[in-house]
Amino acid sequence: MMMKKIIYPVILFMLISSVVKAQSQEASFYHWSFGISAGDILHSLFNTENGNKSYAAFVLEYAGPQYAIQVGFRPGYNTSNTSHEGFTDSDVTDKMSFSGHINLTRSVYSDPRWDLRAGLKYDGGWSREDIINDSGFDRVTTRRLEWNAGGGAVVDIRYRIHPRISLGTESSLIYSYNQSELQQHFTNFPDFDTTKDKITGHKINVLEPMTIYLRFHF
Amino acid sequence: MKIRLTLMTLSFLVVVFSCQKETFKTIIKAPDLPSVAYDYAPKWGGMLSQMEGQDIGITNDGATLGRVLFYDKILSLDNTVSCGSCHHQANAFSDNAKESLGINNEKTTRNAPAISNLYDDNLLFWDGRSTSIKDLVLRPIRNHKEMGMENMNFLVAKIKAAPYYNDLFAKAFGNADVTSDRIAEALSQYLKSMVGCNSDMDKSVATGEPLSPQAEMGRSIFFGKGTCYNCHSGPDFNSRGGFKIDPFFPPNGGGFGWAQNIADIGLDEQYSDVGMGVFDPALVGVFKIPSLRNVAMTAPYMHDGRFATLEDVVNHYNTGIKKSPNLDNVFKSWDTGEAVKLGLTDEERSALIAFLHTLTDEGYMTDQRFSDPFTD
Repeated sequence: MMMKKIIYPVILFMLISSVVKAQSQEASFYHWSFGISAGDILHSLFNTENGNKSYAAFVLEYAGPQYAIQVGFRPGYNTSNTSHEGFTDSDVTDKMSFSGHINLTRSVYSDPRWDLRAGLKYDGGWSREDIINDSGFDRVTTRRLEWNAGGGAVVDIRYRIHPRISLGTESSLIYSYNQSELQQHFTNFPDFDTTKDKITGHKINVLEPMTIYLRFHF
Repeated sequence: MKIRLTLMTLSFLVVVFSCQKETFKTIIKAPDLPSVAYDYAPKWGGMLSQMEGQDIGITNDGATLGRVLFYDKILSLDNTVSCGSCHHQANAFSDNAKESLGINNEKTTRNAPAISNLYDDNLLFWDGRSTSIKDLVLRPIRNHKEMGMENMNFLVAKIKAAPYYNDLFAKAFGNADVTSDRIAEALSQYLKSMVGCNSDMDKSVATGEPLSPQAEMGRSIFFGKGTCYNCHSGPDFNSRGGFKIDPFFPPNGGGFGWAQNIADIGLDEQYSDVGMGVFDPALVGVFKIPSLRNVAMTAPYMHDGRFATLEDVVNHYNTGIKKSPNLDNVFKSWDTGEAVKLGLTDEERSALIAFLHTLTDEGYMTDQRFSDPFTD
């Protein structure tokens, strides 16, 4: 949380200063762009929980005149200590996650302000949540491991508010395979480590525009 | 060059040692036990005086081991729950919560029944799935919601790893071998030793002294107009006429079901929890008839803890019995087959409740022999 508070103001500062600087520059084509989701900026500024994390928090793109390749990612880490009513022990919960995507898109409409792109999206994610109970006799870790991978079509639209800054959003239709596994690990009794249940599945997801990416072009 | 080599070697060693498997130091509190084992032979008396001199198969060392196992949280998968977590001595070894909390803070599906005077009970759990205490004791330990130790080898390994069990098993069984059968046997001995028979009602039966006037009125309602004795007779108030035969004999079958300690008491017209109906559709809504000893201490009531007070329970029998598919004959009008209403007055209901309070053995709730040895 502390890192977020430092990173986001720095990024905002970079964006604002680049706008001021760019006002004196001539309009030109920039190959690279780095974007950050406005939803994450707002959640960070107002210190609220982001309930929807199915989109990337950051995107980095290299674009040619027609084609572009974009990578997006969302790292996550959370830890908490929970006491349960009626129990003397408390649980420590550690959750680590990473999700990302690669978009290969082609511009289908472009003018000085608007850019509409369409293409393919490859999407994946991994998370590990550990609930650790330390009773003094043994340390029991209940681990939920999840991952998913898939791909589909993506449509991306952007509006350039400045030669170096654009606002954009995207929507996609993704087929993905997912797997979830519940494991239990016993520090003093590793022979009895178990996988309690393993669930696999696949689904088709329509990801509607969920955030606006603020992009800086360079 | 030498310095660089030394630094590289040191760095390598740091990496190797930091990558070693994490070791965990066990810090566990041993139970606080008396130097000489308590005498676990039940103090028979009152309505159970006929049990005097009977061997119910317990030893002091066996029951002592059972007591430690009963309160030891290492018997659960994540070491957070013991038998005593849901069976509190202050509540006559029942749970004052509607549903108890098992491992992972998961709620169990039924109210934890009270434990007392199980020494000769052959119908256990709300749905009577166990016919012996030795069979009963391992089931909550293995249940995935309650204590989660589905693998008995793991249970044995954990108990072997706890330093204080060596001596306890040696005393109870002659040697320190730990087996699931011995665990069940010790727990079973402890549960069988849990007898309370020093209530006001016991004293009244033993001495011939009457109860208070209100309780005496309740006593006559219990054994008369209230017809409670139909299901709650015998010295432990849990049987139909004291007969105990095949536990799966249907309660309504040909009139002979009288002998069964199970009943559908018309709680719902349609049951979401079918009770013994999992064994036989003719037993949907049928549950074990619990003992009424210490009943004033065991709220909430019924298999799902739906009634918070004894008043609620009496009101159910007075006006709330529903015509459920397998409603017990006791609650049916002999001519119309409709659910009966007892029609007790306010005074009669209060008197009945006063009588139920006389079934409390106060000493049972504070008996050191049954207390938690792990508390300070």
